Amino acid sequence: MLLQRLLFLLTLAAAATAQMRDCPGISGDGYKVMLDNLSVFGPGGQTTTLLRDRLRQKVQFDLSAIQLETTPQMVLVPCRDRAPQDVTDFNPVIVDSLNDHRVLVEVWGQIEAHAGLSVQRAQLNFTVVPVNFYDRPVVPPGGFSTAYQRRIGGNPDELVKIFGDFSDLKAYVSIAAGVKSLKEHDYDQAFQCFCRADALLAQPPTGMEPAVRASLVKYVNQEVNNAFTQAHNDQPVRSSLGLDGTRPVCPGAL
Amino acid sequence: MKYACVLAALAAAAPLRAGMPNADCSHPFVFRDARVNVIVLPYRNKDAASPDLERAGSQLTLLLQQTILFSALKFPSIGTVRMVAQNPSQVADCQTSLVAPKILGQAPGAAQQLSPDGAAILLWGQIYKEGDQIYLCSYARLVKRGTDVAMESSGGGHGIFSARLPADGMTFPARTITTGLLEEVGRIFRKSATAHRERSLTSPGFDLPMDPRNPFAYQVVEATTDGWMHVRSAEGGMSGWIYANETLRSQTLARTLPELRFVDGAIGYLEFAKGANPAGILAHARPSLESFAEVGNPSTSLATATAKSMLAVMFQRDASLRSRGYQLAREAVALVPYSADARNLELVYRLDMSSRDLYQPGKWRPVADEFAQAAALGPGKKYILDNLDSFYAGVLGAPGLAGETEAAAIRTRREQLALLRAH
Repeated sequence: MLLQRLLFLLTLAAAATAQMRDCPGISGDGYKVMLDNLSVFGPGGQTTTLLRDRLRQKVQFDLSAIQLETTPQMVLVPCRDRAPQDVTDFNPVIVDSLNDHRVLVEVWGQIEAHAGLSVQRAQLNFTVVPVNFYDRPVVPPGGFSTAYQRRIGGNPDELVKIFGDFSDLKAYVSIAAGVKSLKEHDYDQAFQCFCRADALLAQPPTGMEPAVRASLVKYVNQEVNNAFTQAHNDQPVRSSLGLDGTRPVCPGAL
Repeated sequence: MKYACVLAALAAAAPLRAGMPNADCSHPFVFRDARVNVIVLPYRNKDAASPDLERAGSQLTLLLQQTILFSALKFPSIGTVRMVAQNPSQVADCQTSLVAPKILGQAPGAAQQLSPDGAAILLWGQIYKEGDQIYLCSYARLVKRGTDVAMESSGGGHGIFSARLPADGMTFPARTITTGLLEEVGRIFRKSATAHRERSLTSPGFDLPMDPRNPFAYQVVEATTDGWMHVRSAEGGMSGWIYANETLRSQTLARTLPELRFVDGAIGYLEFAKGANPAGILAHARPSLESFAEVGNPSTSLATATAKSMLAVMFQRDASLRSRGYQLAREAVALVPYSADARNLELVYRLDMSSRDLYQPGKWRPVADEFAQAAALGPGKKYILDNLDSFYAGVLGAPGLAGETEAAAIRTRREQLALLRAH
């Protein structure tokens, strides 16, 4: 009995190690977005594989769009052996390390497998590293996430809609790149990133909770102000911010 | 050696309407004499490769290349090239980030580069298959070897103001291709991949070479309204009729993939600046861009904003269309308010439309502030700072500036600007 329990604990420990295994790809230069494996809870099967493939594809579509349309440039780092289980996996030491490696966002997720495609629960989670590191109170208690239950198990028309849906990930990446640029004294780039995030957050909501969205809009506007103040005080750095003598705000439609 | 023969044979041919179904990604080929090249790169899945998926992607890209070519025959000078990997180990060479620098002459390895003022549209995609259902998402990138300026204006006679498009890379909405269309694609592929000796599907012919080790460049010598293209190989030895059947001519594929309309309009936009008959080119490009922009999609607003901006730029040359063009430039800003280039284009357009009025006392400040805002949104875009400086120069030079205090404030702003421009 004791031996059995010991074996069980050892198995759990090994699994936990595998789940938060280091991802060697993050040691390269530049900003990065990490894409982890998706965890499956419950008995896996064909349906689970299908859901996982769909979620992964959704993220791939979004990431390709981000890489093509977004500055600053970033690289996608696939981390197949890494599968966080919970937000508590991102302890301060891990977040510190990710931040040092200029990781903007780590994407991970879970599928709760049940019988039948329509009752599956699936969720994508986004660890917005610079926000976690510098502005922890902005992160909601359960972290940033998007739930896909029911929708991801839908028919082809619904699925293509999800593939083309507004991407929360685009907003998270823009916010993270803004915070990171600000900390690296690139105020103009920070302003650009925050304003893009501001525009993305104004789009019709999909997976993001309204309260989270509202809190992020407020945060983004605070950071725009911070960018201006810091650019103004940081004399050696040349910045276009405040060229007109006024405190900038993110512009809307004309 | 093969490519050398192809080039020598094509050099004598003009006007150029040409295609190649099997260029090698590792050594990209473009038609140097074509004003615009469209390069169709593979549609692949990053996570999963399967023979089914590879075949569907391969068939689709040939149809895209032929559809784009057939549709673009109305333009004076067009080359369309489908690129494939010579073998599976070289698939990575088909990435846009590797192909573009080669054809632009920024990296070695191209079998042929764009001409010094040549332009290209690169089209590629991701494909995902579930059963018989195919989902795909296309991406496009516009590259120019010469200047990247979309519009220049004297801004009412006060300098040179320049503007660019909101984006050179864009994503199109994810699509699903139904089982029926998928089967049709395969059926059309079998017909389209043959060059018939006579203008008849029952006429014998030869299969278009698909192996990149045997590059096959052809020129379209004639196209008929019933969907046939008479092609002749660049080396002169082979000729035949390719059937772009009624499905292609009626634009079924373009209805399923509106990005084909974008590509068609973008070809016109890129030819517009260089063409001898800009009004004729505009007449051909306009319906494609307008129908693409009408559909709209919040997740692909950058592509829609770019299509509207292309129309705006072309309309600027025609006095009767200019105010519609300005409206389109404003609509582009509404779609991507964070885009420095969309805002800069609107401002340059506004100056162009309003002539000298905006340089007057009491009116110049909001315009200057908006240029400054656009500059802040576009770090590194020096031409926006240059526009702001030209604007200040225009204000200082315009008659009736109210008092020395205002002039001194402008001079101070220009001094700050000079530091940034020199940076």
